Amino acid sequence: MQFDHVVCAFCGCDCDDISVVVEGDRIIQAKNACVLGKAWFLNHGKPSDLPVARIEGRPAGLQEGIEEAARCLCSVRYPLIYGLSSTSCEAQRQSVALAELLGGCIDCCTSVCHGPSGMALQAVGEPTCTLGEIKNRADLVIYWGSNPGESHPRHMARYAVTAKGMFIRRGRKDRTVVLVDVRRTSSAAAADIFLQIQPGKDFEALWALQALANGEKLDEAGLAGIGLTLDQLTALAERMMHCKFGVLFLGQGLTQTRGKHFNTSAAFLLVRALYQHTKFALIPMRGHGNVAGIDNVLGWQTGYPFGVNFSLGYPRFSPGEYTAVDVLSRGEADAALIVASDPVSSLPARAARRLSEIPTIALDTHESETTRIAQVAITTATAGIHAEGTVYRMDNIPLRLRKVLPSSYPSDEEVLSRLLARVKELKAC
Amino acid sequence: MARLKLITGRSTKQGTGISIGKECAGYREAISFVELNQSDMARLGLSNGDQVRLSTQFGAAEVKCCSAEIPVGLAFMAFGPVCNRLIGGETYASGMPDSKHVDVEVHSIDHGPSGSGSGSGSQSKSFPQILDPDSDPDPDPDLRNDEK
Repeated sequence: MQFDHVVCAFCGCDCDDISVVVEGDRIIQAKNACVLGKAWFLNHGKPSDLPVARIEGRPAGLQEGIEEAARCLCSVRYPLIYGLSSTSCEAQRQSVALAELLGGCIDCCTSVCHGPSGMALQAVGEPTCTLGEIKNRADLVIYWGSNPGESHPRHMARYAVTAKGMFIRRGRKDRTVVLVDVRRTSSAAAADIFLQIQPGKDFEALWALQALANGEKLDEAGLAGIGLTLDQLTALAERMMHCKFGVLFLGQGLTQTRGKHFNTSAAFLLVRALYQHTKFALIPMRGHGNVAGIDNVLGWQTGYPFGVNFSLGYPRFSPGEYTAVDVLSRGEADAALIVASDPVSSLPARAARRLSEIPTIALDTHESETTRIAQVAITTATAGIHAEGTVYRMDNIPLRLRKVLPSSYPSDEEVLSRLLARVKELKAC
Repeated sequence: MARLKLITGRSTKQGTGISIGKECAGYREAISFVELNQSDMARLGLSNGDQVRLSTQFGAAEVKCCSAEIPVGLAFMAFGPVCNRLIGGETYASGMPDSKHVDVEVHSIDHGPSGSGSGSGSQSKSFPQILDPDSDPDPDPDLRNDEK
């Protein structure tokens, strides 16, 4: 059986034109999907023999697993809920409610991918647009600190570079593509202009471009060490000011380098300056399929996009204080609920190690380093393959996930809502 | 020994390995090697596939190296538990650790191509040795106490 117009929820592109072919109890084909999407559909869309729950490694029933998880979360003082970037918005809502009830911290993968972009948009404002507008209108496309060829393989073809649009009728021929990075990645082959910047000099380059967009005169000597000459920067600024519709895609090259939210703020301020001349937008290259969704869910429920603390009974936001790497590295969190993420693999070792020292509950669709060390591990259905739900694309457009296969496992939403109900009962005692 | 700047990031193999399974050989390989510039490799007397020891103030790891189109002075590793042994937990009030532009020392070692380095090995039920900063008790003393 073939399902058309299926959303691939692996990366932030959330391509919604995938045709999935199901044979028996597995997915055998994912037409239109990129290499990352194919790996996601074909490997998540095959049967699993994991128990629905494990307590200290021992197979258990779902109710028993939820009971143990609830008891654990109610017996600690500072639990952390983390992950949430690869599950549905419906499951994310339950997680926020749970964090509020427990008086703990809730953080998501945003804090270690585009948290600094979120901080910049709070400080400056978000000059954004949809990927559809970029497809139809953008004649200048700049990737800065991003390698979409490997991280978002269909981004260029589907939305930003070769895609033909309403006012970009010839696709690639009607666009100029610029890549700014510290190394010549595979994405450079798709760019008209590759600018190799020195590591750690993004802020200086972006600030210089902002000055040029504001009509300031710059001295070549003041640009020493950036890796780009005044002529290169002036040519790029001219190109930005004179395009019809430009877009700046921000990668983790800016957010994970020293300077972080100062780097991203410089990029947002550059786009603000460009508004004196033309139409320009900025979109962070969000990594996971629904990492933009948890920002939105947390945003509408608490007012903050990540790193939210409920210890005083109301939400507080403080990156560096309530974010996962910090509360784990400092040994503050005394229990953790991990949803659809593998922080034991993906966080710095000191933070990851803390997860093995405290009671950790992990909800995931497959075995991971985190489920291996978890006191309670619950196997869940994959959102977008075995369960329906809502995801937000990197441009904050909501899309509906489809269920193309049955599953014997519960969805994250079901497990979290049952866990929430049980915690309410225990707290009332 | 060479002092370089480590940057970490995504790669296609690392990305597909997340779905195929992090225990699969392809994923393990993708996250357990470092890309270096050919001249840096020559300076260290390294050939493709040689084992090197990477050391930062936060931890150390032994991985294979290969030459790549990367500027002199830079080292690249794909995201994953091996490179995370080299990344610190300080976020400087941002929530984000420094995962790029990290001071790293690269030492040539002669364990042979198959090696028993920290970048390979099976996983146990306890905290995985591959991730454990304490499993390598000797991060470079010159870097250990540096303020970044």
